[in-house]
Amino acid sequence: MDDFLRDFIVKRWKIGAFTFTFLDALLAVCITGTGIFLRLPVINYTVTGPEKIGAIALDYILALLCGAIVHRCTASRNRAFLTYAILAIYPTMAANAALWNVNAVYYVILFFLGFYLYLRGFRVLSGLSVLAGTGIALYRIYQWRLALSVAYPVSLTRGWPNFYEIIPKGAFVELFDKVSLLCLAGLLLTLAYCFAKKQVRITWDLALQLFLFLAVLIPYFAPYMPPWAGYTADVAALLYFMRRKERFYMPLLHLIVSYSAYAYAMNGETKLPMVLYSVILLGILVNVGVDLYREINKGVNR
Amino acid sequence: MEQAMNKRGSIKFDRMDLLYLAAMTVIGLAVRVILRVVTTDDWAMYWDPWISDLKEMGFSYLATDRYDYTPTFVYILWVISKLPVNPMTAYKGLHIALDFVAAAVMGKIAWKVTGSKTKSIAAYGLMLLVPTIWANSALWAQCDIIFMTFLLLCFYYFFEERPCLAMFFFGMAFVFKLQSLFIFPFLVILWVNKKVKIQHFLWIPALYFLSILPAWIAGRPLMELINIYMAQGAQDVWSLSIKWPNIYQIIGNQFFLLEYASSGTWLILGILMILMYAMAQKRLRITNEFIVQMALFFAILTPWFLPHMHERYGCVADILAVIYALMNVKKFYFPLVHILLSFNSCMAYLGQLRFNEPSIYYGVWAFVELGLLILLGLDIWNYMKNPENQLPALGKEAA
Repeated sequence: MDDFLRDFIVKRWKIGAFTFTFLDALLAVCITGTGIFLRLPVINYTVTGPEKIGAIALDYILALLCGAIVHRCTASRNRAFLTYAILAIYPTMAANAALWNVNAVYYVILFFLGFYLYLRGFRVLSGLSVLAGTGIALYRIYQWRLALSVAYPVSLTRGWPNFYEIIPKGAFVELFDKVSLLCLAGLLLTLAYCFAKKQVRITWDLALQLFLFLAVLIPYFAPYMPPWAGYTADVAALLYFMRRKERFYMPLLHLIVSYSAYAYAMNGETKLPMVLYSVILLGILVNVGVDLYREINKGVNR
Repeated sequence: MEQAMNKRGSIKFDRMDLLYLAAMTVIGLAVRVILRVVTTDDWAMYWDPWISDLKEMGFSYLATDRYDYTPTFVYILWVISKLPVNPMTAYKGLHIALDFVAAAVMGKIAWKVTGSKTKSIAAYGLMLLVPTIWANSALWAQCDIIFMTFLLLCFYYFFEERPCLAMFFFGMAFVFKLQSLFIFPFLVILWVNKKVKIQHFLWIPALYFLSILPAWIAGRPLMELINIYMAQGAQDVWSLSIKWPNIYQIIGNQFFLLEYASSGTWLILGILMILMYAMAQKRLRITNEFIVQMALFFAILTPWFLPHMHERYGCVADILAVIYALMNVKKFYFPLVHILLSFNSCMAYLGQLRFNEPSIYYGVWAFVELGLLILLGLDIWNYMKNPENQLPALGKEAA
């Protein structure tokens, strides 16, 4: 009987092109359930409406999509399953929709869809998806700013521990908001220029690194970033870890930073100074930047 | 080799280069245009009254002791006072224009030292985004970009192996700001290693004397003009460190004000003497990278020990760190960390923190700066210890 059960749990089942074991199915069902039960206790903190329910459903779709991305990048079924499993109970994802009703997943999923479509070779659709995501993100941030009904912005950051936690965030707010966007545009332009001049071949690894780099870089320098500005990077850091095991600390650190920003916004106090998280983010940014640089050089040398 | 040098003679731009250069110029200009409206204390308390006096008194203002900057800077203010435009716009406009000149020189330096067109063009673009540069000229209405541009030209001509011209530009930098002396010891090392002749050093007093001549003719006593930097140093002595993260931010910047001010100056002089003695013992192969290493080392070391250092005194190290990273990409963290540290200090002043500490305490930044100093010191040590970089000693060579 024991041997039967042992064999049963690892026996491969096939539905179409998709193969799985009983253990896979068990984990998928259990972790999905765990994700739901993890969300239920906090769901009443904010109003639960169709938008929140939709966002929770999208959390799972995003987890599946990321599993598919990892499978495409690594060809590892185990890592793809793990990605889904981890994302189903990812604290920032759960808190963003179920607890806080911010529902950033509506646009974040479009970034990852764009990335997935890029991997599949649909460049135009990929671009459209990212553009749509960016458009919705900007609209949501604008809406949120209106909801705060602040006549004069007093801080360059609205909760995300970025560059402005290091310099005085309340100085020259209405000038630095424009200056920082221009500097960010300049940095991105320089990055694009170097890519174009070096004629870098964009491999999947490079695409993933670039995706993570931009997901960390943009909220690090953009003004008025909300506490959930690291959502995309949270998920991208996990994908990066699935591709490069030695970077295990990246999702871990980013998640701590991200959830601390949530906690600060929701609790109104922080146990550790927010500037510490800014420095951690800078470290992550530099780490990914160095990886990206090395990957680019590999691409050039090929 | 000669072919490679010829190749570096001129840069040919394609359409993408021109597009990037144009876009970065527009971005750099837009950043500065946005910030030009800020009126800082330095403008309100110094430059504006000085320009008003110059308007009223004309050139005879130079005979007075109402200014404590070198006369060369006051000549510029005199020209501004004659212009039919808003003085602050004219003043900031001039310094903003110099930002672009400095960026172009940085691009030329990158071309010279790397031979990479992409790096050279990107260096121009990135230089325009360096926050301590735009904060200094467009926001603060400070004038450090003048002497920094001359210092960049000094380095460019050293890389071109034209030491006389390089020393001329160093002399020009000195004529505008005493901070140019932070890196002076590296010139002594270059002299020991036969890269500069003793007569090239004469540019420094000669240009300084020429620069004070009109003010002397206008009527200000010669001794006052010669000692103008001494008088400048006697101001702002209310703290051992004026928001610059150095040793005094670790040991306490409000105690033993007079005692440490004097002892600290002697201490750094002693340190510089020991270092110059140690570095002058051996003849070394002087590469462009070693030149920048040494200059950057002294640009960080000197303000780390000198008392009364201001927030913006890291600007020389900022630009040298950029050049260092251009030469050796593995040192990318030098400009990243130093510019962050330097900008943080500038913002502590501009953001009106006054006596409050910034979110990362000055003491922490002081240790970060010390870390950079140690890393750079190790780089220099390793370079000097490498037998490939050692040349026969002076006596042996003569024999």
